[in-house]
Amino acid sequence: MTNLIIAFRNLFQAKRRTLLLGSAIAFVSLLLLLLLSISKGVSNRLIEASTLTSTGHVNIAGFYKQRANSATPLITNREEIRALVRANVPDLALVTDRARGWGRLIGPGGSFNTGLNGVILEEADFLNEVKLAEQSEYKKDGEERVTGNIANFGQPNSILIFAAQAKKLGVDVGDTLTFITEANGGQANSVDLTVVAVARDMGFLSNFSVFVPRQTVLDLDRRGPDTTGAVWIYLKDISRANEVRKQMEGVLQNAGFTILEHDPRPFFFKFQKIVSQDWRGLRLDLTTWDDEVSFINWIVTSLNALSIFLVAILGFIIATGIANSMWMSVRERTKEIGTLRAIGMQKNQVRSLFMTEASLLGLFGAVAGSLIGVIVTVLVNWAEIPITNSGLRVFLMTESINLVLQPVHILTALIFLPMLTAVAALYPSIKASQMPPVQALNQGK
Amino acid sequence: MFEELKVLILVAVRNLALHKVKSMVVGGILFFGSFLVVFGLSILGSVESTMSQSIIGSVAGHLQIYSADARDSLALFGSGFFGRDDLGEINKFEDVKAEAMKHSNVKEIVPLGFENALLARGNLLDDLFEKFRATVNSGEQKEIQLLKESVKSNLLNVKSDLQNELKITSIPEEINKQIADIDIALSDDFWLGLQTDPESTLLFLESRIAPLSGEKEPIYLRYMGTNPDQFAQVFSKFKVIEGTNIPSGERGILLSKRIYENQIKNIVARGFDGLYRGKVIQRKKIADDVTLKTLASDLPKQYLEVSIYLTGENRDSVSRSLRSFLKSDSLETEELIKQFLSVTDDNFTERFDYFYNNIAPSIRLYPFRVGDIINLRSYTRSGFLKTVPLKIHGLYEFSGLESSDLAGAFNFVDLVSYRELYGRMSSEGRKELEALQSEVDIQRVSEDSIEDALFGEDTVIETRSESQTAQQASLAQGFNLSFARTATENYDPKELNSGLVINAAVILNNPRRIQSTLNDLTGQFEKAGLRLQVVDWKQASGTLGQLVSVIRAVLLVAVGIILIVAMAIINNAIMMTTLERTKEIGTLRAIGAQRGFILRMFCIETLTIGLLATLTGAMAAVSLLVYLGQTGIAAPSDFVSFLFGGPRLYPTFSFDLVLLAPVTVAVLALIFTLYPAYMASKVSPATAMQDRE
Repeated sequence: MTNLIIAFRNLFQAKRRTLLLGSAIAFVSLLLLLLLSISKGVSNRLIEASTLTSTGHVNIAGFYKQRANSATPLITNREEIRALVRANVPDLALVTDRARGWGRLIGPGGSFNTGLNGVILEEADFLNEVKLAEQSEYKKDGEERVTGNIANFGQPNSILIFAAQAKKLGVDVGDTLTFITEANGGQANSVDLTVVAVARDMGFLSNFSVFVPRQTVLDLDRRGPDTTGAVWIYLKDISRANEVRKQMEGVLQNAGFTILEHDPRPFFFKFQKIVSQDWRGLRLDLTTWDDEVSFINWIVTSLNALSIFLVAILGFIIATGIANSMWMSVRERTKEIGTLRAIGMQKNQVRSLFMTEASLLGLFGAVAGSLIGVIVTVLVNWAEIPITNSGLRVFLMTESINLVLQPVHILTALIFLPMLTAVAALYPSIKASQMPPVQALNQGK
Repeated sequence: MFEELKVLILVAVRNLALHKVKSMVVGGILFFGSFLVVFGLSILGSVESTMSQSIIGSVAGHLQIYSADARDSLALFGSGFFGRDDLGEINKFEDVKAEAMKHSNVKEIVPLGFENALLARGNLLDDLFEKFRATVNSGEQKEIQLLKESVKSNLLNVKSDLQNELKITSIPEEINKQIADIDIALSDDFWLGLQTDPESTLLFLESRIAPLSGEKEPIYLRYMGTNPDQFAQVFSKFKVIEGTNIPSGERGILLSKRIYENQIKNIVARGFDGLYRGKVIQRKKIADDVTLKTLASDLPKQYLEVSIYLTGENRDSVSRSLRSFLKSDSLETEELIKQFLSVTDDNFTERFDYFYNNIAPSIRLYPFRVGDIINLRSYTRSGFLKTVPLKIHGLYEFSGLESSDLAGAFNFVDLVSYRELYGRMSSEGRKELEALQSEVDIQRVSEDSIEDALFGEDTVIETRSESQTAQQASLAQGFNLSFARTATENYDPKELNSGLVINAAVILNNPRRIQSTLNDLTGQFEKAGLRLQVVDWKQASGTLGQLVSVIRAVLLVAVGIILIVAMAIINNAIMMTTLERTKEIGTLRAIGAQRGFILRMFCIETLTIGLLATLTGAMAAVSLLVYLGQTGIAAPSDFVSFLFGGPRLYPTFSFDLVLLAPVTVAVLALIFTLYPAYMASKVSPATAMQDRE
């Protein structure tokens, strides 16, 4: 405690030095927080976009092989599987399923291949969270208001598409699109769909999927009512996804299903390998959400790597600065140290005194940086600063800068920086503590 | 003046030696900063230059021209959509070419157009029935009998396939009808017909039964239509490595070696290749690496891809050889293959060699080879499916970019076939259409409306596969929409230099004048009344070009932040030495040093240590770059190898940067010294003497 008071007093006395070093530390802590919140923001967007468009937290999907050399991404026994999930997953938030279709969406302005998300209307609460795009976002000279209505989704053959898709297809709400399946066997079925709403883009994940009522997909592919593409499980706690996947594998196996060995890739990478396997009938394939988006996880990984790299270099520079100023401070205060030692302070007390001082400085800096960080985060999110570079928009999966600052981030800064400064002060502190009192007193002259 | 400088430098050196810790901190940070700037920017510059070579030398050229009416931007390496971008059309390439070639800096202009296609792989029973028809016609009774049994056993398989289909379909009545058809074909009465009315029997099999067996899984292929000869001449990295380029005036396709090896090759062989890359080249362990583990555990499940090709004598000899290799006494060939394909870290290398030496020669490693004909199926502009048969003339790769998926993404077809897949007919196709129209007596309609009429009217249409029988069927309906040519049919090479293209690559004589040539051409086209836009290779590359801009921006911001923090620390360090040296400064002032002298003293001190440190930092960076320039930096992934222009990056550096960067950093440090130096110069002799007492 005495140490703390003395350290505090010392910092207060060397105001200018404290202020300078403190603000450098505050800057680094601010940067650390911003980097963490950017990468958390991106990974949140990734979860949000992927769990809306392409995956549940846990998926029970699989392949149905009518022929030895086919692979249809389809499962049967839909009701049974859903019941098993409801009975066996305790912290279930929602279980639903999506019929999966694949084909070409054709509009007056262009066409592209996309997956169809066949949605069960009664379980489509998520649609209320979908942000609709203003007309001007996808139409030249369009109005700055939302023209579609999500409530109309569910009318037979209605379709919900995303802004970039609307732009490409050259359609607006109310227009008709044609969808042709690319069904295997050279037989193509098609259907006309009416655009009921246009949603905001979610990076490139949203380019590859559109929403239609489940029945539309079943009709297109001529599939029976007990089939579906995948049963999607949403958990209250997404971090339990892998655990639940393993648990459900066991449950389904006991119920007589055959389970494919876990392959952490999205289902569309698995066609070729399934095609060349010799079994027929149904086999289930359980994956988690991050398996299904593993092909874009590199964005989050590289953002994290970049943050670590930057913070490491900055940390190194800061540590050098701290070491230097503690060293000087030690020399400046030789006499003081001599006095302290002369009146009975122990070596290790002197050492911890200097280290306390350094970590206190680190803590002040970190606290100041965190405060600014919180303010900056709130301001940036409030201002909804749009990202104009379309490349960045695609990679960060968002239209405006989105920062997510978590308490754990602040805690990281509050622990990491004082530790760093303490380590940096280690050598000067040891030097100080090893000074013989008499010599110290003399040198001070 | 000179005298004073000499004194100042002497004093500076003395002070630097005296305050070793401070000198080391300031020097160290500056050394590090300069190192980082020189090294980082050199690597970035090298990557930009290799990447530009990759992009320019593969398909982009220096400039790209496309229609000003395009709704999408040109993105050669993908726009983030899986489909056709609306790039407008250049209807008369000859006009564009004539106009562009007027510019003295334009060396060549290459017509292009690109699209995704499905590789239609044919029906499983088609081949068998074709063989059967030939045999029946030949009248060889023994052969006919043998094949008949084979047909029957295949029909039984199809029947059980359809029974599987019954479990998931919503139209069981239709499937049941199909099963009934199969039952007819399996009945003895049906086969009696082979004697009396062979044609009806064969037709029933070909038209009613064959479609039921379903198609092999299709493969997506990205193709680029161009003038093959000109392309090979202009793009220096382009290299045909098997077969020949598409000969002038002939139709055909040139496959990417990368796609051929990574998507088309037998999946078991690909598994072995992938494991070889991971285990032998990258030195990973199957037991530790998730990707390799999955590859290894999938291998035995794919035994069918080996066993299916082993028939008759081959089967026996492979089984025998495997039995002795595996020291197994199993009699089942399938069982032996499964055992063989269960590879581990210990047995992999041995089995890899064995596979290629003893098994590969007996199986089909590739479903088709150079010289074969494949069917490309693509959507025309208006969304109608069209199939065009094309001969594979050869395989190509871009030198240095062999392992890059991006560079190897395209397969090349002649422009005439491209137009056909695009839905635009060649002059001969047009004549054919006119002939057909007069035959069936319908009024001439534009190409678009033919397709629209067929496609747009009904909500649900069915187009049968474009196999022989389907074409016959559609002929009967009115006219043949595929205008089927044979794969070897020729065309007039002049067609390559005129007519429809989507975009065109421009190669310049002097690549340094990209921007000015771009502006000139834009102006020229406008004057000539051509609605075109010209973009440089970076813009034309799409998301890829943006990625590099993003990396560049991020790196510059990072360097900026690092420098700011470094300067704050330096400022702080100098500030503290100043405070510590108040007494000394006071003494100096007392014995007659002017304020300016003190200021200069501090500045020279920073400049001395600054230049010393930053220049050494730059030299260190240069030595590392020279070393790496010799050994190269290995590309960690296939994607990066495209950026690196090859499997390794050999970084270079520019002397401008090596000199400019350290001086800039030192000057920055000097600027941050000004304030502490100014503070020091304000020290009055009196206070300085009083201090510490």
